[in-house]
Amino acid sequence: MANPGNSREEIRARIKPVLDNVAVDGLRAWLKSIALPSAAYSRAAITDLVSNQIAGKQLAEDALAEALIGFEEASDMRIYLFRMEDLPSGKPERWLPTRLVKAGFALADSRIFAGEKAKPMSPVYARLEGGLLRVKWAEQQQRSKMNERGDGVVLTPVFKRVVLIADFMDGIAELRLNPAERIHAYEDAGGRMTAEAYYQAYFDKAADLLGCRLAPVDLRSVVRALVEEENPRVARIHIDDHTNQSNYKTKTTGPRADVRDSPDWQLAYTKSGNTWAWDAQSFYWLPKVSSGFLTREVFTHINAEEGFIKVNADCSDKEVTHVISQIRTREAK
Amino acid sequence: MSSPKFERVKRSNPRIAELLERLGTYIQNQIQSGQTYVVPKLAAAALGLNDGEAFVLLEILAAGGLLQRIYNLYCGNTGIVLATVDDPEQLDEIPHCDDCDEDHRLSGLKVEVAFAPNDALFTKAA
Repeated sequence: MANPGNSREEIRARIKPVLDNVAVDGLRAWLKSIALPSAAYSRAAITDLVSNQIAGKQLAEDALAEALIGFEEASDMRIYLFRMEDLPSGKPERWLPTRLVKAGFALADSRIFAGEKAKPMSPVYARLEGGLLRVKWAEQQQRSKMNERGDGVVLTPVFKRVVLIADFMDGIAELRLNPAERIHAYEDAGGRMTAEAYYQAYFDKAADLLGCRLAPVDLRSVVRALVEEENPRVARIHIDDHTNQSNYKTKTTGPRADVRDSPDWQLAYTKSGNTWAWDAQSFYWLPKVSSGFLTREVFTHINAEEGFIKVNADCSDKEVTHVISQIRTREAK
Repeated sequence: MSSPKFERVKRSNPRIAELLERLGTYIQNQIQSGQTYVVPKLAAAALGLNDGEAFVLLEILAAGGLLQRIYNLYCGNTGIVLATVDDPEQLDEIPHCDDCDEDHRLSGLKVEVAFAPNDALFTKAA
């Protein structure tokens, strides 16, 4: 972030437009994670707080920019995990730069904001470091909703970010996409504009960029492992959604507790839980067993049927990276 | 538990014959307990496989004439099965959804591939 003036007011004016795009809860959790005061509960208050911290040299403006780029690349994402199969041979540093340039990327030393790129699949940056590739695309879609009179449609432009993180050491690719709006540039075989067409277009783009096949990671085994894990529990199960062997679907939702503490759920699980197909589960990852990576409970919805993980709109990159690493360690290989 | 077709499939796939045997027993138990078709994700859960592995094994049995691929159509809102068809062409003939009281478009439905028994080995009386 440029640094033209250092008064509190100048800093505030500079950072406000950027902070306006980040959820207050997420900013508070991030400040807490770097051991800075975080007691601000409105957007105006947290903007003042952060301006004061920068003016008082408690927080570097570059660190704030880095964190906000992290929010941009982690908040409100559908995350797909893939195993990379049949990758080109040799180190990625040898064969990947050419592919990146062909795809319109220039290799960057640091991550950058997406800005207001409107065209579908606009390249933002690509960064290759230590066997880890990070690529960001951006585009604009249109949100449609009825006007106040109910006699017309209002279209609002919405910027979307898509981030590909390829871990060549472990052979895993992670694709994060903001959920689709109604109006975008992608159509299915029948010519309909569908969310699936948008996701599929980026799966194809990622596979093409990496020159490999992307095989989806099985998330049912992850859910099973998380349900079985009791001492300690790493996550609180908010919603359990499974299918039993008679093909009956059962959904159990808990209040501020864990569905595993419900006596009815325990009874059914003890009797036949080992044969349930885990469909879609919601988890709150617990900070006390996160080795300091989390300072609050972090929500994720794992949809094992459709093979994605959804994270909320106030997540930092550090939080999402921690959760994904926990999911990856529980994946049956 | 056996039938000429099943033995033929196992002989053609000797490296996974034991797995096919376990799957065969599972299918038989499912049919005996009143299920009319086998869902890959449920077979996977019961046998400790992933969905893809279970699907491939079921496809092998279908290729051997023991099972037939079918399609379950679920309402996207309620998750209720609206129809089961054995030909993808029939996916366009979607019945009225009583729970939503509307005729859904195909994009509003969820399609699940399942496998129905196609051999005496996997019938209730077997």
